[in-house]
Amino acid sequence: MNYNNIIYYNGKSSASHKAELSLLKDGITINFIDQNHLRSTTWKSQHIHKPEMSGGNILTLRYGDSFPYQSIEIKDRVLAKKILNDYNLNTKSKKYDFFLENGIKGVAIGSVIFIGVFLLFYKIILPNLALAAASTVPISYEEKIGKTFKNSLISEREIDSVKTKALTRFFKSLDFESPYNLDFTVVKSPIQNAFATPGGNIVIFSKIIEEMECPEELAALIGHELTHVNERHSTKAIFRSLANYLALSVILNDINGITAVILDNANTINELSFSRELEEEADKKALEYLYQSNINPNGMVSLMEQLDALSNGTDIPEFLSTHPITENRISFSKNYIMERGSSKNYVTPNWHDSWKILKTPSDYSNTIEEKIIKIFKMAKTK
Amino acid sequence: MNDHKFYFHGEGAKLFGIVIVNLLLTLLTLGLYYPWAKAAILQYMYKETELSGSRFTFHGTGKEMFKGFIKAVGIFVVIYGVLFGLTYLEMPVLGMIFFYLAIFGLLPFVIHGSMRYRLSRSSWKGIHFGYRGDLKEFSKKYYKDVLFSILTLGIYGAWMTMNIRKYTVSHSRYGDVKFDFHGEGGRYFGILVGGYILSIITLGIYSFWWMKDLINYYYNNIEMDQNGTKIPFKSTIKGDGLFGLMIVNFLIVFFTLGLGAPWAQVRTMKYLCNHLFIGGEFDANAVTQTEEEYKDATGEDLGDMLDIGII
Repeated sequence: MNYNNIIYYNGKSSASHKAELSLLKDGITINFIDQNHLRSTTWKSQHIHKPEMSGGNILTLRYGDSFPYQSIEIKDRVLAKKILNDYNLNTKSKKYDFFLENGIKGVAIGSVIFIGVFLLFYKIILPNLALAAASTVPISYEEKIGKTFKNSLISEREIDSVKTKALTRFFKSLDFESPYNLDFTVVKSPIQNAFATPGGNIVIFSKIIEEMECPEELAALIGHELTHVNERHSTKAIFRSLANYLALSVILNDINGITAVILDNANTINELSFSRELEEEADKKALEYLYQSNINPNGMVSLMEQLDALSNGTDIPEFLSTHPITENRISFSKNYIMERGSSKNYVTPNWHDSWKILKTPSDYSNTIEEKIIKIFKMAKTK
Repeated sequence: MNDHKFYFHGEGAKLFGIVIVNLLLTLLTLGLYYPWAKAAILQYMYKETELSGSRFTFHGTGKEMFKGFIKAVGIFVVIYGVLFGLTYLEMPVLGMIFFYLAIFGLLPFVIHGSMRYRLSRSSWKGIHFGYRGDLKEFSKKYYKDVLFSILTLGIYGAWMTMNIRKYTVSHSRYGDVKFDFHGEGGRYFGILVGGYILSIITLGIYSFWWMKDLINYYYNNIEMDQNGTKIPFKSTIKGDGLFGLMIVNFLIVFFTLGLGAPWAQVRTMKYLCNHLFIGGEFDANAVTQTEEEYKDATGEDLGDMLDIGII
C-alpha cells in the first residue's frame, strides 16, 4: 500500500494527513503521517458511521461517538469496495439508487412515473380531498364569512331597499328549498350582474332584472344562484384551489404562497367565477327547482338567450364574464326540458306585485358606473 | 500563492434522480417527506462541491429537520388560527395586522436559527462551520432597522440588508477562522438604484449585469481572518456569463416543462464554482475545530415556509 489515495482528518484540525490502512477483523488501523512522523489510530468497526460516496469514487468514513468526528477519504475504488464488503457497510439508499444508477433510462422512467402520479393527485385525489374538507366547514362559519364578503363587495354600491324587499317576497312565492337563511339584496347598478356568497347571500343587480322579459327568467336566475349557495360552490372552489396550490407548492417548494392563495381567494369570491362543472350543476339544479315548483322552465332558456344576445352587442353584461353563456349551456337547458317534457298548466306564483316593483326602471345617474363612463367619455372627446 | 478554487462535480441526471424521488414521496406523504427531501438534496449538493481538492459535507438529517418542520408547522398553525379567528369575529383588519407583525417578528429568529443550524451542520476537511450571533442583540438591531426602513419609505432597506449581512457573516466561523463583511449601505444602495434604472432603460438586458454587480458586491466584501492573516474572497463573475447561463437555463426549464430544472441548477452551481475563489493566503491545513454541534432546525424550516433563501 502507498499513502497516495487516503487522507485522514483527526476532527480537531483541518490538516490533511496522508494515510494507509490495515484492515483488521473488527476494525481499521489508520497509519498516517503527521508532521513527518508516522502515527496510527484504530477504529472499531461498530463505531464507524454510515459511509458516504461522493462523485461515485470517493468514499468518506466518519468515526466516533461524540462530536467532533474523525474521518478518512478513500480515493481508491477497489479498496473502497473491499472495505464496504468486509465491514458490511452500506452507502446505498434504496429510495434514490435506482434512479441514480440508471442514467438516462432512470430519467425517462422517473419522468413518466412522476407525471402519472402527479396527474392522479391533481385530477382525482386532491379534488376529492378538497370536497371532503369543504363539507367539514360549518354553515355558521360560511354565513359569517359570506356576509363579510357580501358587504365588502357591495360597499361601493347603493342598496335598493324597496326592490330588496320585493325580491325577498318574489323568492318566497317561488317555494324553492334551502337549508340556509337566505339574504337577498338588490343593488342599484346599470351593470347586468348577479352573484352569491357562501352562507346564503344572493345579490342581484337591478339592471339585469329590468332587462328581463318575464318573471320566469328571474326565477331561473334565482335558482341558479341558489344552487351556488345550497351546493356550497364557493367553499368547494376555495378548497379546490387551495388543494391545487398545495400540490404545486410541493413541487415549487413554496409554502408561503398559501397566504397568497387565501388573499387571492378573496378575489375568487369577488369574481365568483366557478369552474364549468359547477356552473352546469347550477343550471341543472335551477331547472329542477323550476320543475319542482311547476314554473315554466323555459324561463331558463330565454334568460340565457337574452344574455347571450347582449354579449354580441358592445355592452357586455358583467354576468357573462363570470357566467359565460355558451352554446353548450343553452342546448343543455333545451335538452333537459325536452327530456323532462313540458306541461300545459304551469302555475303562476303570486309574484305580480313584487315583479312590478323589480321591473321599475331606476335612475342610474349617481352610480359609480355612470361616473366612470362619464370620465371615459370626457377623455374620449378630449 | 495560488487562490483556492471551487469545483462542482454534480451531474444533472443524478440530481434529477434525487429530485424525482423527493417529489414522488413528498406528494404521496402529502408533504411530510419534505425534510428528508431537503436533506437529500443538500447532502448531494455539498458532497459534490469541492474546494482545493476536498469536498464539503452536509451533516443534517431528515429526522432533525422533521422535528424543526413540525415545530414550524405548529407556529404557522397558530398564526393562521389567530388570523382566521379574528376574521371570523369580523375583525379581518386586526387579523391581517397580527399576521404581518407575527411574520415580521419571527424573521430574526428565522435568520438566527437557520444560520446556526446550517453552518453547524456543514463541514469541510472535518472542521465544522458555526454561527455565534446572539439572538437578542440581532433582534434589537433588526427591529430598529425595520423601523428606520418604514420611516424612510424603504430607502433604508439597503442599509438594513448590509447590516444583516455584516452581522451574520461577521459572526460566522469556520473552525478558528473568522469571517467579516465590509459591504456598505451607501454603495449597495447605489448598485440597487443604478442597476434598476439601467435595467429599465435597456428593457431588462442590463439586469444580468446588475445581478453580477450584486453577487460580486456581496462576495468580494467577505473576508476571512486566520490568526490575523486577512484572506479576501474573489469573484470573477461577468454579466455576459450570467446572461448566457440564465438564457440557456430558461430554455432548458421551459422546454422540459420544468423537469429539466436539475440540469439548470447544476449549470448554475458549476458556473458559480468556476468563478469564485478564496485568496491563497488561506492555510487550509491549519484550521482547528472550535464550534459546537447544533441540531435544532426550526429556524431553517420556518425559513423554508416563509420562502426566504438565507444561505
